[in-house]
Amino acid sequence: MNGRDRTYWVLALLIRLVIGVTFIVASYHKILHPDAFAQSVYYYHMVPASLLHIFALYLPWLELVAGISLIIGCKAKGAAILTALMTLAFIVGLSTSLARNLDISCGCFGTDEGHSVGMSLLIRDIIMFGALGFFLWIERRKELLRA
Amino acid sequence: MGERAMKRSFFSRVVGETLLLAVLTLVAMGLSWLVRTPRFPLVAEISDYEMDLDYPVFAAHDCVAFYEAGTHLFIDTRNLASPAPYIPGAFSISLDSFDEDLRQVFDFIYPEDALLLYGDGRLQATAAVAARFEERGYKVEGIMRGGIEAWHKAGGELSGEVSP
Repeated sequence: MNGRDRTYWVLALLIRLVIGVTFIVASYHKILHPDAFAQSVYYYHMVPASLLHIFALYLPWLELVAGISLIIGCKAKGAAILTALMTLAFIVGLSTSLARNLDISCGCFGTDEGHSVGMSLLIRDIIMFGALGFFLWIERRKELLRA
Repeated sequence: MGERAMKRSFFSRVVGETLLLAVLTLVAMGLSWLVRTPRFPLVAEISDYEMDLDYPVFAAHDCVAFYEAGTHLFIDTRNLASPAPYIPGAFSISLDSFDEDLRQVFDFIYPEDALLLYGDGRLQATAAVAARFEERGYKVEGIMRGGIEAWHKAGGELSGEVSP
């Protein structure tokens, strides 16, 4: 393994750990309080009413499973795809809320009524999305090198 | 193995992992939903949420946090025929006797107070009291979802008599 590959390996590990922990922490309150999370989701007006509760139940578990998977490195590529898709959904939700001037709590960590939707959250999610894309690129590169 | 085959193999493995995790999540969610009581309804009663457009509806655990921070004034909107548990420090003002109840606590509630209303869990009934408050120039910050029972389950303090 050369110096550059070692740097990539360390970066991939860091991305996995940081994003994994973020998603696990984000899932905690949402799993405990699906009602509060459903409330936050409702404010975005993006999920159909018939699916609101199913979404509020499923998404936090998806965050938890993907977060654990990223941290332990088992099925990490699948977890990276799932977290990237979730992050993309958050980016779309935040962008449309900003465009519509909705003054709502982001609901990102379940009970953070203090975190209003804003540019800083959008930038955070875009960085996370980029990091996940970079992680997948490193993983693919690793496989190519192995072959 | 050619590069195209490698790409396809990488892609199919990633898709496989993604689907496996999605199914695993579904199982975990299902088990958790089955085990936890009371069960969170799978279909939303959307009228509960539509009410939010006029008055924000807060989950009970959020209200417990507000209570502990001392940032809100709690209003009990239930029309109680007999003594029932209540949130300590809450003022009892029901729709049926709104004017009379408000007169009794007039010196203790100021228009700038952040009012948080709760009832027996029926949001529409509580929202009707909220509307009366707003007509009188008071600031209603929100309504607690689930009423006094949800408050109790969220670990909120309770007393035996409604004040004043």
